[in-house]
Amino acid sequence: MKLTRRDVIKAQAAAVAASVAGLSMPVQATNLITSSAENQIQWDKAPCRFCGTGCSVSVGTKAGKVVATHGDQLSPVNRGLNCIKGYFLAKIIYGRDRLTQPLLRKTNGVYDKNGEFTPVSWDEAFDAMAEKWKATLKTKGPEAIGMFGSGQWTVWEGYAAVKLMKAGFRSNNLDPNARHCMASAVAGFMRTFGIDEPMGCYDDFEHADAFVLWGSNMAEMHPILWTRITDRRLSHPHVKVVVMSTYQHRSFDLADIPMVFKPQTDLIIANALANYLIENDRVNKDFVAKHVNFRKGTDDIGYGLRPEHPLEQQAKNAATANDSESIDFKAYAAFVKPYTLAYAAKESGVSEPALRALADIYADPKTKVMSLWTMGVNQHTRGVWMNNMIYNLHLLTGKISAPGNSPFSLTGQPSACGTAREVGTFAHRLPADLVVTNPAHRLRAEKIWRLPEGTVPSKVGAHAALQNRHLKDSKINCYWVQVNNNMQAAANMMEETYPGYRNPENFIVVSDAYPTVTCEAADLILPTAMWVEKEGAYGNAERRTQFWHQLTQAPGEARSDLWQLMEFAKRFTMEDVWPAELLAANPDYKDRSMFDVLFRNGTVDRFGLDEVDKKYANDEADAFGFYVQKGLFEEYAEFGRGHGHDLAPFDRYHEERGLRWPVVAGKETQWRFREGYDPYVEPGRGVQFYGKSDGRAIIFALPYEPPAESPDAEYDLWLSTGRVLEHWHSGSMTQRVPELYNALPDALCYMHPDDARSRGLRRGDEIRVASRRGEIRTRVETRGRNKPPVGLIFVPWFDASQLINKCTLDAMDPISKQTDYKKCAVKVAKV
Amino acid sequence: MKKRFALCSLLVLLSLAQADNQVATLRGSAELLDTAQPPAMADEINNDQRRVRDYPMAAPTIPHKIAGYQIDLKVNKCLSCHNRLRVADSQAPMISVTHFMNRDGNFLADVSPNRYFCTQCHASQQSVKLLIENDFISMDELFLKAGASH
Amino acid sequence: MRNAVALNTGKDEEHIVSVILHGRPEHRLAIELAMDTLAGVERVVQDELGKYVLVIGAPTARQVMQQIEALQTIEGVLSATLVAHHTEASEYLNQEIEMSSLILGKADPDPAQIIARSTL
Repeated sequence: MKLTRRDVIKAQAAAVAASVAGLSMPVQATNLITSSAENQIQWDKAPCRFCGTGCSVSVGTKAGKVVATHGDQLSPVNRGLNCIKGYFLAKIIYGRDRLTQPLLRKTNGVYDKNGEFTPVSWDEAFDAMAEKWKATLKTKGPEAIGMFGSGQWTVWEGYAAVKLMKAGFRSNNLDPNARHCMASAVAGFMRTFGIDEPMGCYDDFEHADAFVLWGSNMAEMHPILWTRITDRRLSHPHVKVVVMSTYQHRSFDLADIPMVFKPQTDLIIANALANYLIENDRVNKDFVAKHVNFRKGTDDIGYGLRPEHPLEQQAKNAATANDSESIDFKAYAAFVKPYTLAYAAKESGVSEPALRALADIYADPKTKVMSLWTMGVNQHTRGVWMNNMIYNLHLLTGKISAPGNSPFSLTGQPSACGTAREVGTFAHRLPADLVVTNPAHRLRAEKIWRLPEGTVPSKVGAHAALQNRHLKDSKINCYWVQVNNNMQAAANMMEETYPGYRNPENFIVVSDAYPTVTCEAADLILPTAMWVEKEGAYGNAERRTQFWHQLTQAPGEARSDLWQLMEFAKRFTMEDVWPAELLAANPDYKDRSMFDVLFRNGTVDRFGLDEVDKKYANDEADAFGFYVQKGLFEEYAEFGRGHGHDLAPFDRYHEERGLRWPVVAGKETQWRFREGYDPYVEPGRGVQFYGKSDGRAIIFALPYEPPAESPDAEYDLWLSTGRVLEHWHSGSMTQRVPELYNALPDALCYMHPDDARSRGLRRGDEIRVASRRGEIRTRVETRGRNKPPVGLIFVPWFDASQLINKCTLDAMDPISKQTDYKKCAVKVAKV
Repeated sequence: MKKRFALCSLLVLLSLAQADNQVATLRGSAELLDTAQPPAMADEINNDQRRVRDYPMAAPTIPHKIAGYQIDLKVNKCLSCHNRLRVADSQAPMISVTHFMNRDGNFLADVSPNRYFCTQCHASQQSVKLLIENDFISMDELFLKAGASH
Repeated sequence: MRNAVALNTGKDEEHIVSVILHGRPEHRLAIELAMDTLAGVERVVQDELGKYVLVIGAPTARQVMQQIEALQTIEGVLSATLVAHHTEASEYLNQEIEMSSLILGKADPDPAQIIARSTL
């Protein structure tokens, strides 16, 4: 039978639609596409590998290769759209220099920290690791080992790491790169609401009358969510968009009220808006009376720098940064009274009319307002305060937990929510918002993990920046990095990160798919599987947990992070890792392997291979002989079910385009804390912030405090850092996709033309950007997408050959321990 | 105090194990502690030559300069050539029909507002040499291979 | 990766799209009758709950859109959603292919010469 190319194209187009619609193609039609099953293009869903928006894509595979991706029509998040990065997902796993073998530094066949990277087997790699770990545990104990994980780990990878570190090695030195991204947001949630993660959802976009971007650049960083705002704004002329930032960027193209403010003065603006509400009698008194408590937060809390730093010595309350005292509404009103709009205008540089227009948006009871923020607010030495203060506005007006009225803390990474926060891969946390310092919480974890009481260590471990300091100070000697590029990402590389990794006393292991600068600084590199090379799950910014199947094979000997974590556990018996007293009290554990205790505990291994979907590969299940992903997930889900963090049964997620937790009685939750939407709200309560025992959220009285380092006579410019649309994070994936690389190959220094002129610079000139700590060479851009005001420059961090974090300062919010990447002082000179 | 701090840091750095640049391929030859000369800023390719996409759903890259093109509340420079009513004059390719469909799947008379900011999906390309090659294989090549091996 | 340059050959084009259509099951017969009268619209697969996958072919994008609009106005149709859109010169689409192996054989054009306007 003769067919034309037209027939083939029609059949292909139909097959794509059929897979999206969930219909199977008729046999004779599928024959048009295949002569054997091997030749068929198979379409499967997966969440995008990149940002916290959490779009879903359809991944087309053929003959075991990924041949195409397109936006998933059925996903409520993106409805078939992608951003430019998403459109090229099919290529991210095919960079030519994928790591395919473990590499250990050796000289003359023996490990040498100064040696050449030499291919070794997995066996030899784990031998070397186990030797180092055991020696360190013996001589210095669990506080000398550390792990730096990721908001890009899958849910079960993060969970396996939590068990490995906190229950196995008994070390709380586990922190994720989400510390750099969402820690302030988390602390903000815990302080104001007592429970993590947004109460609203993406449906708010289609209901709001006003959008206020507090320092976020959604046009480039949450592009698909920006399309929903654009749609709302352009379709409904009454809608207003306010964009606030320290420099003008692409989101300003949609702004009705643009605002460029002086760095750190967002604190003043927030208080001024609160004061405006009170002075103009726009407080929802009924709501406040029923649902809010007031507290005054401790101030003068320092900057989380090393203790000997003068700023830390001066700070009166660095040790009690998270404390607060109870006050009443009157005291709060008196506290914010000095923050007039005139004062805010003077300090921030924003005009008073603009501030008033913004204030009226919050003040008008009929205007449903969505506040949106990410790194501008979180990567801030007072980021927790900023989070609290934005919530203040929504609580004073009662504009919360209802469609369109939504303080929405946007997440940066694809699973900072689903993995890092919800699973608790932090130095102070356990799953489902539990903390290691609470004995009842530790007991709960030990029960679910079937471990003896006293297993989980109670002392908070080292957070991200502290891990780097400990590495430099030789306090942490064995360190495992997974799914991040911290040499490029952490602040103050010259003084802290680099010395720490290259300290001869330390053994650094880095798991990655591609050879990054972090790999360059490591001693052992482990080749790692990416994205659809393994079965995975991510949780996005609106609490939507999304699953995907393994769709292709990792190259060479690359293996998933999950496999590595579990396989490594086989190298230890409990005698290697637990203290004598614990073993003496529980002698059955002594000779058991850590793998058995953590992963063959009757819960994690209770689902057999017969439960694995035969249509898909599952390398980890094959390796270990049981359905590891399902077992880990279901054990993990025990923490949250019935406690406000309910997840649906595992299998359901493979069918759905994700579900937003809490999923109760099979139904997802869109708006939390409000009766009718949230099953946890007791009947008759209307609104209940059940994270707090009395159901009341907290409005915090917090002042302005200056940044850690401001421009001065010598270092006369603000440096702000961040991302660009086309590149994800450190560029390890996107720089290897031709269309994305060609769009923007190199980092640039975005600068105001007057600043360039006064320094004798022209566009394209080579310059040195230097801080007190380090410098890079880059080129001047005076006509780019980012238009900073005089006195500020912006340099993105995606470029491995322009490591801007050599310049940045490791000052942080002392409560959240999150670094401020947006404010330090630099000088610029022509090379 | 600052000077002593700096001297201490320098000594610490010198005593550290040196890492030669062995694997960090995106970084080129400069060792981690060094700085290298940044490449000169390259021009956007401006030859209007449409490029083959490796799969039908990939967003086409822009074959001409777009520096300074305004897309905001007042004006959309791209649509001034690429919108349906303009293509007869401009001879530019019309935006795909998919751009007239909104989130709910309804067809609109004009470009759907959620597709308004073109540069969220489409970028021009600079005339630079790739740092790292990508070994993505398109479905057509796989079809060809399959034919060959059968 | 091919960086081949596509040609603007100025030949006769065809647009091929696939569409998911949702209709009320109780209007099934009427919807199918109406669909079948529309030129260039083919039903490929459907289920009993009112979901259809259609393929539409037309010489211009405008005509494709008109057909989709026509589908949307049929009584009982809830939605017609475009999924894939492929454009190619008729000359290439007419070329024949051997069914047995479905490859782009010698009779097919050099991929570099396909007007690359397939979009989603």
